Amino acid sequence: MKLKVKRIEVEGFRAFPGRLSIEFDERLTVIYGPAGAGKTSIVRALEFALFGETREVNARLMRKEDLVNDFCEKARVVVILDGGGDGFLVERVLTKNGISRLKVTAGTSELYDDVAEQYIQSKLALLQEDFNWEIAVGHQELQALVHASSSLRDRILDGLLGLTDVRRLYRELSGKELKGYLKALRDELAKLGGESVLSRYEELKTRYRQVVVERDALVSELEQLEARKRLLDEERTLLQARAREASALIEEKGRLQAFLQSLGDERLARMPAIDENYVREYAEKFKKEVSEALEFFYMIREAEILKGLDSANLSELLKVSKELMEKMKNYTIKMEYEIKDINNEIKRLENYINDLEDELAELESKIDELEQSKIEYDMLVSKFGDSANITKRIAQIEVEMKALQSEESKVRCARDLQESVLHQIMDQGTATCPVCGSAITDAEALPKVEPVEAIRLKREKLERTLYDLREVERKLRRLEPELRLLDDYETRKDSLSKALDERLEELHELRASAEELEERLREAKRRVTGLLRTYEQLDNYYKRLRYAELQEKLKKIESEIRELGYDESKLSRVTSEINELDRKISNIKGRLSELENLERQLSEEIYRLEVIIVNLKSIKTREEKVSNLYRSLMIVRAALLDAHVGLRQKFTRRLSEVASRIFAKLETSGVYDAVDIEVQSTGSRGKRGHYVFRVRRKFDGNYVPAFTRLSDGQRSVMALSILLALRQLKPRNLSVIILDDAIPNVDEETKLALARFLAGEVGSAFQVILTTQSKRVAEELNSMAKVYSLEKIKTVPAETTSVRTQEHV
Amino acid sequence: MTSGSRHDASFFSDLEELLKELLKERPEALRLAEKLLKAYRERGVRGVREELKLLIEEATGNEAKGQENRG
Repeated sequence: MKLKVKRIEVEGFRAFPGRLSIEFDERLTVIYGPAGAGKTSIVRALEFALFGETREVNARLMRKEDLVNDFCEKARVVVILDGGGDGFLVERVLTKNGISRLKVTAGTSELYDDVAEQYIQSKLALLQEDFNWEIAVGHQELQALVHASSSLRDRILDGLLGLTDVRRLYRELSGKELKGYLKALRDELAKLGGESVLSRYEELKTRYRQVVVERDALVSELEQLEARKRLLDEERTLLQARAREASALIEEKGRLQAFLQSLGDERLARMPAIDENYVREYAEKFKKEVSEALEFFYMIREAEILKGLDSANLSELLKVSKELMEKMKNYTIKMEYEIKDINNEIKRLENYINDLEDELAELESKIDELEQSKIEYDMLVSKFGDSANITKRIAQIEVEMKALQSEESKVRCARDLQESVLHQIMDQGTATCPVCGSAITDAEALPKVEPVEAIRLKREKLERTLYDLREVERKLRRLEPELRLLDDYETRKDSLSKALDERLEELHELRASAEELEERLREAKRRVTGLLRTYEQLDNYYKRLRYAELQEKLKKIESEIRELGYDESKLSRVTSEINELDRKISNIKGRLSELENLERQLSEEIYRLEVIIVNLKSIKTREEKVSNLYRSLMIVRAALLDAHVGLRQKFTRRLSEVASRIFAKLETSGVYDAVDIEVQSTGSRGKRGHYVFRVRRKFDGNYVPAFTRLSDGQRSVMALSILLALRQLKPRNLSVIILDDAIPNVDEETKLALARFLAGEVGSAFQVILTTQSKRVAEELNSMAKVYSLEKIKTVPAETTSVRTQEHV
Repeated sequence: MTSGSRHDASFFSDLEELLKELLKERPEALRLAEKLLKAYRERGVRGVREELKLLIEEATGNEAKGQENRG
């Protein structure tokens, strides 16, 4: 089915406020007009009719309702597609408020909206994106193809080559979800313990087996021991029955053995037998010695009691003697205490005497000192008299001295008067007597006056005497208390001497007493020691006699026990063995209990681990499956990538061949004659590589990079060649090629070359619709195509329902 | 035209051939590739997603569910 556009009617759409109707030629239709005439609006009207929107709306460059002309309330586009008997009419209406309605009329059927959309899609098998890149191509698509970045160019070319699906499929197979599952499963495995659980499980199983083996062995051993114990119990019961029969004898034997033990069984057994008479004589001698000793200790009554005892009753004699000897020992201890007390008293007395002697010596020393003072006192008294006499003399001297002082004053006055009179006589020849007032002319007539020095000497002598007497008086007063103290000391000395003599006598008596007691103590100790030795000897004799007697009795009892059939050693052996068995059985039971606990614990742990292991295995299986799936998926993904590269290479090879042929016709400069689309891989596996355009230079046949060598116009021609080649290689249901002023940036020659090519080769295979601003191209194609001038079409009033659609320029 | 792809059968047979060649030594991966390719051809991206979901369910233990869904 090859669908072609038969007619399009446009009303209120984009550049057309009025109605426009164009009939398309089956091969080539040219729509000519200057910029803004509405060429592209016609192309977009076709796109709108088929897909419900335009590429600008799809790219959100404008709103859908903006497709309605500013002066209209709604846009309406009708397209009639002719495909032999398979054509249909598409009518799409769009209101100013964005509401769109679709109607498809196919034969007698009318389809609306969604059903109509599905119908169109099923007929065209074309996406809007493919329509834009393959059916209705403008200059911007060609520019995008050659000027886009390598990754965008890859996407565009992949889309053109139909490899977008491979890309999509590759993207879908990222395995992200699987990876998430894998991680979750691995986390779960790790949480459960992973491999360590298995090793722990094996370890526990081994330990469990060991425990079971040990337990079985112990159970077997226990059974054997219990069997043996039962036998021994029976034997012991039998022996015990016999023992009960001989119980009285056994008891007696036990008592005897105990008593023998207390006597010193082994030691006595080694000693020779002793004569009983000899022991009796020895006992008599011992009794006598003890009696004498008791008398020595003044224990007369006890001595009498002892003498009354029978020497043949050794046990009683030994018992009583021992008690008496204890008393003697106590007596000696008492004596020791007494001696000790006397010695303490002696020591105390000695200390007291020493103190008295020290005090006496000190007193004597002081008396000696005071006796010197007494001598001095006596000497002063003999020389000056006693202190009362001296006091009296001092008083007399003091009176004398006062008299002398008075006399000296008088003499001194008399001498002063005489001298005064003498001076007057010497000066005046006469003087007046101060006493009687008579005139004195002769100095010789004056009375004689005693010299003052004599009186003074007397007074000084008296002063010295007075001084001496006062000194003596002071000394005597000082010595008098000492003399009184001397008397006291002497009295005290007499008293001390007397006390000292008394204490010395007392000390002598105590020492004598102590010596006497010590002598008696020594004697007492000697006697006690001797008695003890004798006692021990006698005791030994007694034990030996008793031992022999008891041994005899024991033998007799043992003989009687044997006669009754009782074997004590066997019973002891059996009992000992039973005890040993009980101990072993108890140990085994204890161990068995431990093992049972351990077995239970191990069993529980093993069960727990088994549950975990089952879980673990299940997760592991799942993990392996998911891992395998992920691995396979990654392999498929890698293969898909390789396949993508393979398909690219395959497709580009064919595309290059066809594009080269077209390019050779359109490239008017004559420099290049072929196009090569190469997939340049980065070299590493798994990379798609990038599409690279190269052109062949005619003169040397070398391929050179298109982007650096070609001009902008040449690049557009190359892109157009590729797109046209692609259409030839990839048939579509819609057998139309619309070039919407695709190469405005080339010279007229190239445009004409393109026009010729489209009219010729392309027009025979496809319905070609060409829009152009070039008047020359329109003129060139006038004879080969339907040519419309939009300038003229647009002048038709909107009210007219029919438009003259064909205009030959 | 199906809901999955706008391509004709030749594209998918080309791709399938290539994958067969690339995965000839990986039969398991090849089976998976064929399955996924078929799903894509028939139901597009959604088909691939559904197929992967089923495969994951089968692998992660929800096999019954996977089989059921597949059935």
